[in-house]
Amino acid sequence: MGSSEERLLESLTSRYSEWIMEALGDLSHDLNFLITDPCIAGHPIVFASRGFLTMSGFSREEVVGRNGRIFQGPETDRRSVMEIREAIREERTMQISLLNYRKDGTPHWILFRLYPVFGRDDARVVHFVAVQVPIPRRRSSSGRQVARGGSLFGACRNEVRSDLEFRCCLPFDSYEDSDNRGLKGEEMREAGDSEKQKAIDGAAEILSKLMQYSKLTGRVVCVKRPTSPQPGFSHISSSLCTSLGRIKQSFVLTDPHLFDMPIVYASDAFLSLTGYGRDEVLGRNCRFLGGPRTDVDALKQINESILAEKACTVRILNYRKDGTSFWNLLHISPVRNSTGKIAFYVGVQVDEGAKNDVHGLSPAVRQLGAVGAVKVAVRSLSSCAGSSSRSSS
Amino acid sequence: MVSLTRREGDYPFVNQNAIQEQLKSCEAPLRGFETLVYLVCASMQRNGAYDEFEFTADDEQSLLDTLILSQWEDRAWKGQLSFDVTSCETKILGGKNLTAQLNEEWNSYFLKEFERKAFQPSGGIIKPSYLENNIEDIFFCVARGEMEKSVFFPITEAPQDGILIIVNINPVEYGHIFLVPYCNYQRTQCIARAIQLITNTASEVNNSSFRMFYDYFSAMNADRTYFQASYFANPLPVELLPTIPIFGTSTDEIYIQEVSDYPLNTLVFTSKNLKKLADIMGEICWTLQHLNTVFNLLISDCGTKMYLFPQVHLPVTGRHLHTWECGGYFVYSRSSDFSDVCELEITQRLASVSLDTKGFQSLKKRCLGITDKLA
Repeated sequence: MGSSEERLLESLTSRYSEWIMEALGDLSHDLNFLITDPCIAGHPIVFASRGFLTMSGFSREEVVGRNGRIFQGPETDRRSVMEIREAIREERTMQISLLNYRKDGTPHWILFRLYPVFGRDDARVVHFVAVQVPIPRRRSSSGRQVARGGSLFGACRNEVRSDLEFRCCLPFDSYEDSDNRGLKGEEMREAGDSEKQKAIDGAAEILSKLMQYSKLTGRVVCVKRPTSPQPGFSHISSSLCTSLGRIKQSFVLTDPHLFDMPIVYASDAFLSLTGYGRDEVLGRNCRFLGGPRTDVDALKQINESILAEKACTVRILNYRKDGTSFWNLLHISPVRNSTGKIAFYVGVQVDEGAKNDVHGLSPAVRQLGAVGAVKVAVRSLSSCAGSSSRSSS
Repeated sequence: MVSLTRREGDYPFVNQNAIQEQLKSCEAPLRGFETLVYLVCASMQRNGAYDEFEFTADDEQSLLDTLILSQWEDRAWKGQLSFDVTSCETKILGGKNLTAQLNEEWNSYFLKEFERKAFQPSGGIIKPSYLENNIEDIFFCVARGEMEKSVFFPITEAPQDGILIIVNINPVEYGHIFLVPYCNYQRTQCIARAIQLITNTASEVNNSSFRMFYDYFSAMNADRTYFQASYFANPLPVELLPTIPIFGTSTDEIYIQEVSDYPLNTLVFTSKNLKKLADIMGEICWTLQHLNTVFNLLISDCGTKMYLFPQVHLPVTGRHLHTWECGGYFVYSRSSDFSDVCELEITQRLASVSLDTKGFQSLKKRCLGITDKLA
């Protein structure tokens, strides 16, 4: 939350052109879907279809800019939510029956289908598309009471059923009705073939529109992960983007494996501090922040530390886009991934004039706190784009 | 100074004579000790509707999270850790994502050494000499506050009771710390009481990567209650597995589940009401300690989820598993062991400490009974 409206709109128009809003609006009115941007802090919704708004009872303003969790409620199965979270992290498609809540608080079952949308040239996820198809109540219910809020994991149904029966026989003295005590709740609804087909067909329409319109801007998207990114681009997975979005300090990630060690990630606070736009800094080496009075020795110290693969702090004069200068207490540190090798360098900027924050934390403490948070986030990644490396054994 | 309420009388250990004795003999280790203090706000219930149902990580770094990470990174940068754990190679094994880490500098005796250094041999009190000699290792102290919001005092006298946050220089992952509950007016550290503030701490950190651990291997551990925590950006393997619900209430929404398809029989306790969850887990842990059960506790999801890993007793030569191992994360200090390790080996290791079906049923019944009584 807190992203400006322009940024949310730009997330779509910069990739699919300004005509995408109309094109998506032209799709069938009972097609319910959301488009989210994992690279904006908080992973917000950037588009909600008219059908979705009708189904959920929310207005556009109440939905765009918010995270998808707002549609969950007390009886939503936590495990299902976790499965969705993992699919997002692993940047793959998935399908699940889910209990969502409308604005008026009433729950309803939907078939939820998730699709990542990849940028063809940079091989990263640029959006997620989530299609929802309502699942109607069936006339004949199975009569089986299910655990509160959700399913018992389709794969081992028989196993589970027999475990439930076994449990009934155990002498739990304190229970009157061991089978049902505490297990009342919404009965899980399975999606039928018609719902599944509707979801698939609807998604195909949406995705084909996105692919078509992305050709207008040249920033083409595709639905299958591109096998290898074009040279010159580095992979920042969407889950890394989301983790980094939590860090409110000014910082950049640079990639030492690419020519001239360019910036591959810049926080919003960095852009505010320096006055540049995101597209003006990504792909460039940090030296553009230097200017006429920047001390050459400070730059040398930075280079030496990087060659030695060590962390350092330097006080360096930097220049904003508007030409004004500020003293930057810059801390640079190597950041390693799950293979143990260096994946990036993080540079955290502190404006020397900055004061302690509302909690009384000094800028130096916040700076190291940001470094730590980046190290935790990157440590979860392997070298392969998005997914963990798997051993064959 | 903020006044802190005493919580006596809840548990059977409090003995007024012992308190008097202790105060006289000046065993209170943190009397007069000055440190950074973080006072947790008064209310423990996790309010904000359905925070834990998240698509993504939490929105912003919390104050406590920033404090822990910055202090840890500071020690790392100054070279005060035994090794850079982030430079250790890891690999994933098989469909359950069981994880192995190669760290040739891993000291598997480190925890025993820490216990010996930090705790009095007679009981669970922190040695004053430990505090004096290891002042650099101590980050700050977490204690209960009375105010609406959590606050942070740069340097002040440590409160009468709280948790000391101490760096673990032999980390299993980034940010590995010890959380040592202490109490200036009571001899024994009662697990039930400690769990309350520990759970509160997890909630205050508010970072889904932050995972807390508790190992209980023998009666000696009851006297030396301490927790550990570390940051794992990916969930531990056990957390990704399906679960079978076996209990749920309509009021406080305490749920108990059993992890399915995992070689180590495991129970999961979840709730949005953290105070109630901590109460129940505290009682369960206290009971298990008194029944001489070996067990571990994993606290994740900002304090809303607790995994209970009961283990069988082993012969003298055997080694019980640490909590992260129970969760499916193993450290190898020999390169050959690391290259050779496979999913089957770890699976067998987990299975070898697991309770059998009968033992697990009995434990489940006991846990359900306690939960039902307190829920």
